[in-house]
Amino acid sequence: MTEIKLAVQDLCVEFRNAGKTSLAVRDVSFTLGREKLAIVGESGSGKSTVGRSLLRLHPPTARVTAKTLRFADIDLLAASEKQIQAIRGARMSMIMQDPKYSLNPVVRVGEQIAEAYLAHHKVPHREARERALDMLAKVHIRDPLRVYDLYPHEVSGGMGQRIMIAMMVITDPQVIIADEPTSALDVSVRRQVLNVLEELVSERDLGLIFISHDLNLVRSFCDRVLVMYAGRVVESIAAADLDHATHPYTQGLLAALPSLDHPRATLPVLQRDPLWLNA
Amino acid sequence: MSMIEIAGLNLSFGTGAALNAVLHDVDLSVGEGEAFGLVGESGSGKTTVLRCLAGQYQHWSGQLRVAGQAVTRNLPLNHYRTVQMVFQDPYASLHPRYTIDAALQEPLRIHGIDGRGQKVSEILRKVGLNDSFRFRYPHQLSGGQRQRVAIARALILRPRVLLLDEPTSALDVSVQAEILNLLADLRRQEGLTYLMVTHDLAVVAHLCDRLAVMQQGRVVETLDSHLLASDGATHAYTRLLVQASRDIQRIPIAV
Repeated sequence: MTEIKLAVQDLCVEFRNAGKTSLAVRDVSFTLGREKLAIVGESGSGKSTVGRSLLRLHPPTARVTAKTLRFADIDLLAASEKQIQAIRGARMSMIMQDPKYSLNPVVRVGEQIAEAYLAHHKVPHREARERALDMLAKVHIRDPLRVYDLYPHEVSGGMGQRIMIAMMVITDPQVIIADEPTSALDVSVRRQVLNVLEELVSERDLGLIFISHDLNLVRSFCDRVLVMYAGRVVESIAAADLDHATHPYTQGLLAALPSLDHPRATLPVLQRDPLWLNA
Repeated sequence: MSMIEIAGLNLSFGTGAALNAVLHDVDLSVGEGEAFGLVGESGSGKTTVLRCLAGQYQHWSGQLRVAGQAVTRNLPLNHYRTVQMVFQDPYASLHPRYTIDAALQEPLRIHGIDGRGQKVSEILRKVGLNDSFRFRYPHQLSGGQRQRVAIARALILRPRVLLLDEPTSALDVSVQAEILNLLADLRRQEGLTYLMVTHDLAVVAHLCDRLAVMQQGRVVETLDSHLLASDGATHAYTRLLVQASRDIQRIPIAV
């Protein structure tokens, strides 16, 4: 690991709703260098909430606190909205789960990529278009000139997700947060999208936070894994060592996966221990 | 005896220049008490096959038989006492303003079956829930509990065939394990026949005896599911799917 791009220490996120407060994220700490870091857990474990608080995407009902929340040399908690806007989408960007819902349905996809570039660079529109076309070629889209003028409903899911990636990478960010980028895709297309992501990470000086619930995928794609349960990180482990995970929750998640090569009559069901909430 | 018999099933949408054929001569046969998987990527026509069997499309051509009865264009009510379907997303498949009790009683009422209260409690117990769930609404239940209710709703008419359309793909792995176990237990207890659509080969290998692989509206290969693990698949596309789900080897990007 080289320099540290992101430093997070004791991050807590609280939501207030109708007089009730719920703690969605509790004392989460990690650092991100030039690597692929996975955050896994079940729905509701707080993994997306962590990703969103890095970009300050939470509504005002959320209270985000941390001992440290630093991106490069910027304190993300103290930064003004203007400073955050200069970071969000430019130096740190986010890839969402489903291209069907995240792309603007009435704007041509190429224009949407160019728009992301224009939002952060004062250049003529023509140049932004050139860059968008280059970027489409980078994410392995066969005929960039044709695809540039398509609308989101005219592209397949895998192509849509590569367009999203192009849009997020065109500003040359240092950190990308990918929130379940492949769970809306078929297995055969998933690999393509992952390869594109991997290529970009290794080519550029990038740190990737990969939010997922798919342990098998994370195991082969990422370098390090944070396992979250009920808002806490219960285990932080190198992806290659996942088989030797020590926390019973991680072991339970792994055991619950049906396997192609090791069929079992019944799958072990996760037994939740209330102690994990405080451990 | 085969429970589900599909021969030369063709289906297309649109006419003239816009004609789009989605199923090409699909042949399948599923034995009584068998669990059969149907895999392939989105758009390959696997859900469409289920929908033809469930009577949601009427303009197909070919031969469909379930439990020896030909599936006709206008299906009689008792077809649905033989065949029931469980959908992918339990958040979308239960009526948000019906209590669980009302949702479960509806099929009984349609079929004029008495003793409904009793039957609702029995079926809830069978899927691992209890009477405390009866008067709740779907939004008060977790995803796994909702899928249990959806399975209960399908089972309450005591069908012999369940059509399962990606029953676990909207669920977390830990909940998926519970639902897969429940489906395996129910099949054993009730002697049910399953036809399950999924894109997850590991799920097929776990639950099904045999599977068919579909690509662009055609069945390209039918095989025993234990052959998946031993590299016994012969068709290139099946092998690609096996490889992709093992996720070890990298598939080169088509340039």
